[in-house]
Amino acid sequence: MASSIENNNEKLTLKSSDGEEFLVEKHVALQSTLLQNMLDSDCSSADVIPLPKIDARTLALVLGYCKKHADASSSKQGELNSFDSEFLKDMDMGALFNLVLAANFMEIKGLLDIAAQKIADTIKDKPHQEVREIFHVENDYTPEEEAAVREENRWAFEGFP
Amino acid sequence: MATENCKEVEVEVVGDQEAPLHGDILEAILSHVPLIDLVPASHVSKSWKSAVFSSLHQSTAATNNKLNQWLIVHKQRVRSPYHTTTHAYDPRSHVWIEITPPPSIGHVSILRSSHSTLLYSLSPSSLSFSSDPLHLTWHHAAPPTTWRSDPVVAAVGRHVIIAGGGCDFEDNPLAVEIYDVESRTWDRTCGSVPANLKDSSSSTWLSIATNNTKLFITEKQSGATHAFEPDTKTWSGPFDLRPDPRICCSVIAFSNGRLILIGLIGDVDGLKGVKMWGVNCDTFECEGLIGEMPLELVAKLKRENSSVCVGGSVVYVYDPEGAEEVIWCELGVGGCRWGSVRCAVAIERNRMDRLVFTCSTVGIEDVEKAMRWGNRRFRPLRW
Repeated sequence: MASSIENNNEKLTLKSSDGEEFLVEKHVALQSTLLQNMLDSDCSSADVIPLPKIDARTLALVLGYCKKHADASSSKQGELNSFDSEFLKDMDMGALFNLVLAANFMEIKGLLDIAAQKIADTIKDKPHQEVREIFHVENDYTPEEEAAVREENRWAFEGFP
Repeated sequence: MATENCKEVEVEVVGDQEAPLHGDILEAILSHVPLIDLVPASHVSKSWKSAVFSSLHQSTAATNNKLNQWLIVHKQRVRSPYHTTTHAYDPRSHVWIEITPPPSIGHVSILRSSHSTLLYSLSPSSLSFSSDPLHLTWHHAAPPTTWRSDPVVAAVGRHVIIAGGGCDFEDNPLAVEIYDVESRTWDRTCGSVPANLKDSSSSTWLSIATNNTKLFITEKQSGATHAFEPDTKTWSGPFDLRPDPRICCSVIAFSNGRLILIGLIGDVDGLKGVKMWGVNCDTFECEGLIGEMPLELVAKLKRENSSVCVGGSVVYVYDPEGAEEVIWCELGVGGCRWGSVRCAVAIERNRMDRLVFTCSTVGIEDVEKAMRWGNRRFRPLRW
């Protein structure tokens, strides 16, 4: 049954870290440079492609993004932009982190950019202590270094008159 | 058949105990964070600090982290007490920032700017000037002996040159005086400016550029250019800086050590185009076209008088009277990238306000220094 005519309808199977399989149309998968490279090399599309770092929930989101962008390549950019901003709206930080890691791993540039921008927006206008909590970063500064920083932030984050 | 929909599965949430984002991915995120917010981000942890610094040295197609030439706009009321505000445009993040408080000097006298980097104030009682990136430090000197209303003021190496602009009742309205920043003394025996610069008030009709050894003055309307070397106190010129006879306004600046000429081409019907040339500093010959402003941006300039502010590879062109739109150009290896940015501080100003423009290369250390030592606060504006 395999023929060049059917290439457009070709599907491949992706497997998430928690063992769920996703059947994906090839043109949707091509949004990912990682998958594109795998398909370009001798990787058979009949094989199941394991994505050991991406859980099912995140992978479903990623594939939703890819499908919209693959199907809408000829449609208006404005529509895609509003899809992108809706897509990330109300997403919690844990989900965003997973998404940005998945986009980075699967090399989906557009998704990486919007997710990175969304996370970057949460860093804006926040003192470093708050950023530390949101991003689960351990403070490895000494108390002296920390004191110097506090003095500085007093100026940076005092309310404007 | 498998489905693309998400099933109800137990989701493994990112570990609460360890930092989920690090390395390249953290740098990618930080490259979307405005410079003023990177200062607190660098205090999160030592690994964040190194991620902040390495992200600032990377450029991708989507983000140019090295684009750090800020356009700084001081808005000042024309009457005492000269109420002043400071705003800056950060091209890396496309944000306008309000910087408070403005330079304390602003409250006592009229601010002016010269050759992109020098902000100064000249009054009968003193000459004050500042050329650090965020204008945190000011040097205060005794005034020149000849009183002048709007002379050429320029910093060349360790010298500050004051030339011309004197009132006719003075003994020599064309006198040149040079202040030595290191010895803090004036040299009053520096001759006169060429007579054909006599009737041009500096801030409106002259364009000034400097490098470490020379001062260049171009009369905007004629393109006539003079050079002055403070070490030898010698003038050269005039040289005709008009590679195209249709140029109606010539402005000059240094970009990464290269003298550039921006020529406005137009006639009575208005502005027709803007072109940029490189200029040989010794022969004053134009060495070829660097770039040409797209016509849709030319339309935003409207009038045939422009000023220019340059920092590194970024050129800002604006109408000194209006400046509602500032046109920028990034000079790259592969050619010029053009764009424009709305200058809301110019749109919101009333007729009693003057605008003073400078351009500075601003690094994270400059912002940090301003927060820590200069007691400056930075507030991003969403216009």
